[in-house]
Amino acid sequence: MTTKRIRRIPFLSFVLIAVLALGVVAQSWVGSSVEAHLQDAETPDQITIALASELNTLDPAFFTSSNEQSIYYAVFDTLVTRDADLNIIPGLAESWETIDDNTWEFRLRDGVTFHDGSPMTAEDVKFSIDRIIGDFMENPSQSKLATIQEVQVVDPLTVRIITTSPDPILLSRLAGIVGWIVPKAHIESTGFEDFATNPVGTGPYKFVSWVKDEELVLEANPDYWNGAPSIGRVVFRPVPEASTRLALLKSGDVDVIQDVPTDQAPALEGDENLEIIATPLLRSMYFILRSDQEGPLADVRVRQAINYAVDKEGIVNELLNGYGIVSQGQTMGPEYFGFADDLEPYPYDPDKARELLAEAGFADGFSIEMLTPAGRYQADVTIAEAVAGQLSEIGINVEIESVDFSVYVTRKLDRTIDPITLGAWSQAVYDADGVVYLLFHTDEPWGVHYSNPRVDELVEEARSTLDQEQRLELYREALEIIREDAPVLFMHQQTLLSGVKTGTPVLTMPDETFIVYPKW
Amino acid sequence: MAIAASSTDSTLAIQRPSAVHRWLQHLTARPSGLLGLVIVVTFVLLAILAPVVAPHDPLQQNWKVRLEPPLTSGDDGQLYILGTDSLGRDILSRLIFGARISIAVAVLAVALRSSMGVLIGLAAGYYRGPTDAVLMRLADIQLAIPFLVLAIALMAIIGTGFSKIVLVLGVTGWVTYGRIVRSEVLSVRERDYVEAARAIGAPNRTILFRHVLPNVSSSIIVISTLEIALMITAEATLSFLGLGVQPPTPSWGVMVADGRDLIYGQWWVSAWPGLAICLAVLGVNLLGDWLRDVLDPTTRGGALQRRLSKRDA
Repeated sequence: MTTKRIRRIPFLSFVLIAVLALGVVAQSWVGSSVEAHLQDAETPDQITIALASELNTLDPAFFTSSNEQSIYYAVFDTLVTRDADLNIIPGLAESWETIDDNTWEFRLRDGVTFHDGSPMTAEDVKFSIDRIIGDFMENPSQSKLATIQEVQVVDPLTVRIITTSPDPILLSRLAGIVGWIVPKAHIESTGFEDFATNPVGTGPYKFVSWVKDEELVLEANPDYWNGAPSIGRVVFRPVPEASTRLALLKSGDVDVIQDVPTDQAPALEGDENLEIIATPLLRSMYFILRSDQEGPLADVRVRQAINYAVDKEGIVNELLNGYGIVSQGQTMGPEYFGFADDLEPYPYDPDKARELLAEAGFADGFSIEMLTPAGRYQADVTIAEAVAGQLSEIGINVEIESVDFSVYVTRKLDRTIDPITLGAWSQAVYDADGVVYLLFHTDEPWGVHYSNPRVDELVEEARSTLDQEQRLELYREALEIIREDAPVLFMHQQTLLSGVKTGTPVLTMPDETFIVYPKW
Repeated sequence: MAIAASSTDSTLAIQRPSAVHRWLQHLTARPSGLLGLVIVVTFVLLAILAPVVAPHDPLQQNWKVRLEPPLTSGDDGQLYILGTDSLGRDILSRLIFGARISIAVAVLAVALRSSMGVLIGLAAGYYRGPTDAVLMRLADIQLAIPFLVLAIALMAIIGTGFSKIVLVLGVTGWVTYGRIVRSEVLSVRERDYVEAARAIGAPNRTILFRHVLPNVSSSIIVISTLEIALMITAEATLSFLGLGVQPPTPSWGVMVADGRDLIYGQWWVSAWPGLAICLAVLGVNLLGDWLRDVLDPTTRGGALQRRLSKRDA
């Protein structure tokens, strides 16, 4: 008797698993058709946004991901901000002027208050910047405002920023990232730790509550200096699993989802209640080809061969369904100042690649390791496999190592990445300084293990030249050298897909942030 | 002389067919056991003959025919029975080659687990005393850490890849064997024939491996079979999490992970490898259940087996 009962268990569990599996598949069809009709067409009272990654801190000084920037944009303000075309416009500062090459004077908007009712003054501006550049706390964002030497309070509504050397992109640095203005008195009484979970700003939305990994709730600030927002509440929910986000959108539980896999876009386009927003991103994808190690990649011909061997067009058009733009031989797109629009991508030319390999003495190819994070960047592992497949065509045998993002970041900072490593980079300063300097200058912590004295000279000079025409020329020359040296395999500029319930008033920006209340 | 010879022949003649016959009887009396055997044999054959039976190269990418649904032929006119994945690789071929990985990892890991466990169990049960105490406390410590958590932690430390997953799955599972073998040895070592062996001065090694081990072997076989199923899922789990076999090597776990984000539109990318894992585990479990009943000393079949093995010894 007992044996008989035991015998049934595998069958029963098999049936259960099969039913569960069918249920998951079936839900996609049933769920979309039935529940979508139950939803009201308009819910302007609240917008719920499902983010692709978790939020770690609400204190902008310690930000860890672009998703946190969406929250900062709603809760805080910056001295200057950007309009829809990304031009710098007034924010908390209504006007500014340069006193000399190193001195900027900002005139603050009168009558702006923090959410706790206290007025925003020059003291708060000084405090907000000092706490990032100063030594009185460990701050990972220090380098983002590294050109600022000192902040001086002239009067309650006038503040001066002194830079260490002429900084052509000071306004860009202040227009986001860590340039958010926080209340001095409030933080001094409650402390940084409390502020990281209980932020107070001057922005269009007030912080209400945050349960980490579950949801963050914001509420309209009726006293906002630029006019009260029309949408009463904004809720952010981190949902790391793409298929779960899709299910939430289809069932109407959320209004906006971040990062729809490109292969799922057709499925959403078929639903008349939903739409896809494709946003070309600042983020560029590339593979680091370590030229600082002994081995095949130390030879520039091998690095060029790899660039010829990969069909970038094919990867963007076939694997990403056309969502993406092939990089023009540089790791940035036209959104950045300094973009060289006459540089060309390496063409797809396997014969030329084999020729170069043979010239370098690797006619029979070689074996090499490739590191990629799994599930952090759009189609990361798929793209790594595609590139590995193409390199095998010219005799390079690639062994892929796909790791969790945290492992990847650790190895990047320890400088122990594989000879070929997937990279993706964006800097919301919208300036080549954030890309060419931080990636290609010698010994930068996030750099691509590349060193060329001439490039160093060029980007250092561009960093402290105020004449923008001259800066363009400096970057132009640096980019040409880098394209030729090929310290990376240039891939593509990413396009991020967001799924939204039709008519939801939300904007997706090139720096991957969501904007519910535009400040322009 | 003639009589004696014929009687020997007849005992042999009766004994051998009857053993085979009984086993066959067990199989037909338990169709689930037969089903398990058929499934396992099929997977093993597929794994061995993979290069012959797979219709395509499992690593060959063809971006023009990516995500073709099952039973369609792509633009290239080729038929893809189970469809293609996001890089245009044939899923059926990847499944067949994936069977190699699953079976190889499972068999090697179980071999490692069982040999460690058996040695430790034999030592603990036979020598008893402090050896036993130390080894069994070690077992308690290991049991206190959930197996998968331990495996994930170890993989994260030593890195990924085929040999490492075998090693990690192998060294984390000796306790089950160790405990069962120990308890059986505790009773076997008191048997008369062990006493007799000791009395004529046989060395411990001989007693352990000649007289004790064969008599606990049926338990080892049953646990090993059931553990194969556990190892198949463990490999798939670790590979799914990105800690096991690395892409593009076709492991079932990696394949399920590949299709995770596509489950809405392209269910076949992860459904087939999921089904393969289900089937393989089901088959091994059915076979294991049947083996347990046949070999278990408390059931009739087991008693028979015990008698046969004793006579052989």
